[in-house]
Amino acid sequence: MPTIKVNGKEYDAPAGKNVLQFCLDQGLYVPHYCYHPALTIAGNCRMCIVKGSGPGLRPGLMTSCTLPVQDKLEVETEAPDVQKAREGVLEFLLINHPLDCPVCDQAGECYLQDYSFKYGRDRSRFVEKKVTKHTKDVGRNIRIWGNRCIVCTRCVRFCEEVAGTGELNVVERGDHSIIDNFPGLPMDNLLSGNTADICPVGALLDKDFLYQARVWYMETADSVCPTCSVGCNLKVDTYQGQVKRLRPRENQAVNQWWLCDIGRYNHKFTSAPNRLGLAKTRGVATAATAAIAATAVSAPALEWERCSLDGALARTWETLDKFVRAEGAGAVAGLASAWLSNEELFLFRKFMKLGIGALDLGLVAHQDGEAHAFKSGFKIHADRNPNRRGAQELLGADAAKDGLKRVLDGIRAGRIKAVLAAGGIPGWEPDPALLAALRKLAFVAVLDVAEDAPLVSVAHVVLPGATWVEKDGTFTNAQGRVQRCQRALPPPGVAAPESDLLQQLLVLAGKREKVLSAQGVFAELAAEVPAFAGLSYRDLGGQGKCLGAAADPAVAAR
Amino acid sequence: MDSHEAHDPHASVPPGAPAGDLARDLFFPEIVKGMANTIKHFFQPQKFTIEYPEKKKDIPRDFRGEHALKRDAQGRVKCVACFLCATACPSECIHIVAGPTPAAWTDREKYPVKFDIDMLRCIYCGMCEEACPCDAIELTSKFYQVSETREEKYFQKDKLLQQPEKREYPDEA
Ligand code: SF4
Ligand code: SF4
Ligand code: SF4
Ligand code: SF4
Ligand code: FES
Repeated sequence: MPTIKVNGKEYDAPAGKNVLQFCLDQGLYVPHYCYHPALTIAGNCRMCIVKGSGPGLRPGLMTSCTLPVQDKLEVETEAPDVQKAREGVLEFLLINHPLDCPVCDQAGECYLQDYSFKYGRDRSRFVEKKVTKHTKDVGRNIRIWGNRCIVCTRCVRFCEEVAGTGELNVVERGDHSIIDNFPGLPMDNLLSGNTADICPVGALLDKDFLYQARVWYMETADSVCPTCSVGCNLKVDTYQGQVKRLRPRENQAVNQWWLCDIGRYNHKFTSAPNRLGLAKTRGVATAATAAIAATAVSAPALEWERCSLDGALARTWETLDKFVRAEGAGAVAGLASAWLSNEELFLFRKFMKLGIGALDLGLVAHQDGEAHAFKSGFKIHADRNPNRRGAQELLGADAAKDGLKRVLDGIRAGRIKAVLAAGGIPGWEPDPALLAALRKLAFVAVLDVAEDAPLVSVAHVVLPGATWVEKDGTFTNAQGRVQRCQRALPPPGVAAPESDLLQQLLVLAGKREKVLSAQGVFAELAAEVPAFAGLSYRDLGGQGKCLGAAADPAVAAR
Repeated sequence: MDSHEAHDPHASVPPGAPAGDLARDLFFPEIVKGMANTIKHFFQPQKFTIEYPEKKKDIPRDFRGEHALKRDAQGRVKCVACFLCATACPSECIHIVAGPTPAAWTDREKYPVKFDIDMLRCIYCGMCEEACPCDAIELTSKFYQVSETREEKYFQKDKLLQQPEKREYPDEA
C-alpha cells in the first residue's frame, strides 16, 4: 500500500483513491464544493486546493479531488499558500454573488457562507457591477436562483449519472455560465429533490420548503421513509411542531445518499387538519353482552360522542371481551396495517392472541404504486408500505398473505362479529368490499390517524394513533433490514403511538403490567420472535441491521 | 496590632481614629450639615422635576421605546423576513411568518406575512434593531405603554407599521 504524508503525518493509503476523499476519511477536513462521492470528479471549483509534492509531480498547489494517491506523495492542507489560495478562490466566487443570505433559504447550511466565514476575507475588492442571471423553475419541485450558483455542476452530474435523465446543463460561457434545462426538458425526474440537497449553495432550492423556516430553528430526528418498502434513511426537520422537510440520510446499504420525491414530499398528512386528536365512540355505551350482536346498528347510522382516551380504551376492551364471552373468540378478528412498526405489529398480535384469543388476523396495506429504477441503481418499490416484511414475520406469513381474505369470508359468513383494526394508512383507498363488509359489523374499533380515514367511517370506537414521525420504533424494509425511526414530534391532542394504545389494551386484558418504551418492546420481540433473535434496539444504531445474522454481512463477519 | 486586626471590617471605629468622640458617634453634626444642604437647594429656583404628563421630557436620541416597523419609499414594509432580529432577540418575543411577496413586488421575493412582537416579554434591549440588515425595525422614543389587556401588548404587523418613527435629530440629518 502506498505511504503518503499528510501535514507531516504518514498514512497508508489505497492507491488511486483521490486525496480529498482520503483526507475526509481521516477526519482531516478539506473544503470542497464540486466533489461529491457519488458523482464523477469535475475538479472545477478549485476549493479543495492543497500543496502537494511527490515523485513525478510538479510540486505546488493542486486540487486534491483530482490528485490520486501514489507512493511518497506529500500533501499539506493548511500551508500558508493553501490558505491564501482558498481565500482567493472565495473572493472570485463572491465577485458576482449577490450575498442574499438574509433572504436565502440556504443560509445556515450554505458552504459558501461557511467557507467565507472560515477561510475567506471580510470584504470585497471588486466594485464592478455584478452579472445577473435567471431565477426560474427548473422542474416541478425545484427553482434556481442563478445569481447564487457557483457552477460546480453537481446538479448537472447528478441528473446525468444518478437519475440518468440529464435535464440540466451549463449554458453560456465565462462568468455568464449558468445552469439551465435542455430546451423543453424540465427536471421532473423522481429524484429531483436531491439536487437541492447537493447544491452547496442556495442556487437550487426546494419550492416545497421555500421560506418555511430558517434552518437554524429546526430540530432534526433520524428516521426512515414510510412511503415504500425500500425504507430510505432520512432526517425529519421540524419547526414549531410541524414537519417542514424530509432530507436523505446516508446509508450505503439502502439509499446511498438519496431520497425519492414521492417519499420526500409525503409528510403533509402529519400536520393535516384532518388529524385525529381525540377519541370518540358511537353506539357502544350501553350495549349489553348478547344484545350487541342481536340489535347491532351499523356504525355509519350512529352519532359520534366524544370520549376520553381511557374511556375509549376501556370500552374497546370491554366490548371485545363481551363478544368473546357471548360468541367465542372466533367472533373477533384483527386487522393490522403494514404501516405499523415492528413493535406495534408484535403487540397487536399479542393482544389479539393473548387478550382475545382471536383466530383470524389479517394484514391491510396501501395499494401498490408504480416501481421505478434509476441509472445509479436507486429503486422505488411498487409496495408502498414501510413494513410489509415486518408484518410477514410478526403476524405470520400466512396471516400476511391470506388473513385479510379469511377475515372477509368470516364476516360474510356471519362468524366474525367484531373487528379491531390498527394502523392508519395515509392516502389509502381500501377495497370497497372490505369497507362494505366492515360496515355491517356489530362492533369495529379502529386505531387511526385521520378523521376522514376509510376505517373511521365504519368504526364504533376510534382511538387516535400517531404517524411515523410521532413515534419511536422500527420498520423492516424489503431487504429485511430493521431500521429505527425516532420520534420528532408529539402526536396531536390525546393521540398516542399505537404501541402505547395496544399496551394499554393488554394492561386492561390483564396480560401486561405496564406500558414499555419502544426499546422495551423491541427487547421482548427479539426474545420471542425467532427472525428477530440477536437484534437489540441499541445495536440497530443509525443504519439498521438485517434480520437473521447470516443475511447481514456485518453480523456474519463478527 | 497585627495586620489582620487592622483590617477587621466589623470594627465599629476605623483603625487609627481617636476613640470616645461622642458627638461623632451620634452623627449629629453630620445630620445637621446634610439638612442644611437640603434646605439650601429647596430654596433654589432651578427645578429638576417636570410636571408629567402635562409637560413631556426631551427623550435622548438612543432611547429604546416601543418598536416600529419601517416602510420603504413606496410605503411597503421594509422587512424581508430574514429572522435575524428574532434570532438575536434574547427574550424570544419576535414571531415572524415568512412568505413570498405579492406578485406586484418585482424587486423582492420574501416578506413577513405576520410579524408579531410580544411586548410583555420584550426587554427593550435593542438587539433586534442592531441585527436588522435592512434597517427595517427600530425602537422609537415612545415610552407611554399603558394598556388594559395583555392582548393589546401583543403587537402585530399592522400596529408596528403604524408606530411613529424615531424622531430625526438635527445631527443625524
Ligand atoms: S447561497 Fe449562501 S452565501 Fe449566497 S446568499 Fe445564499 S446563504 Fe448567502
Ligand atoms: S445550481 Fe448548485 S449544484 Fe448546480 S452548478 Fe450551481 S451551485 Fe452547483
Ligand atoms: S428590544 Fe430586545 S427583547 Fe425586545 S424585541 Fe428587540 S431584541 Fe427582543
Ligand atoms: S432583522 Fe429586519 S429584515 Fe430581518 S426579519 Fe427582522 S425586521 Fe425583518
Ligand atoms: S472539489 Fe476539487 S475542484 Fe471542486
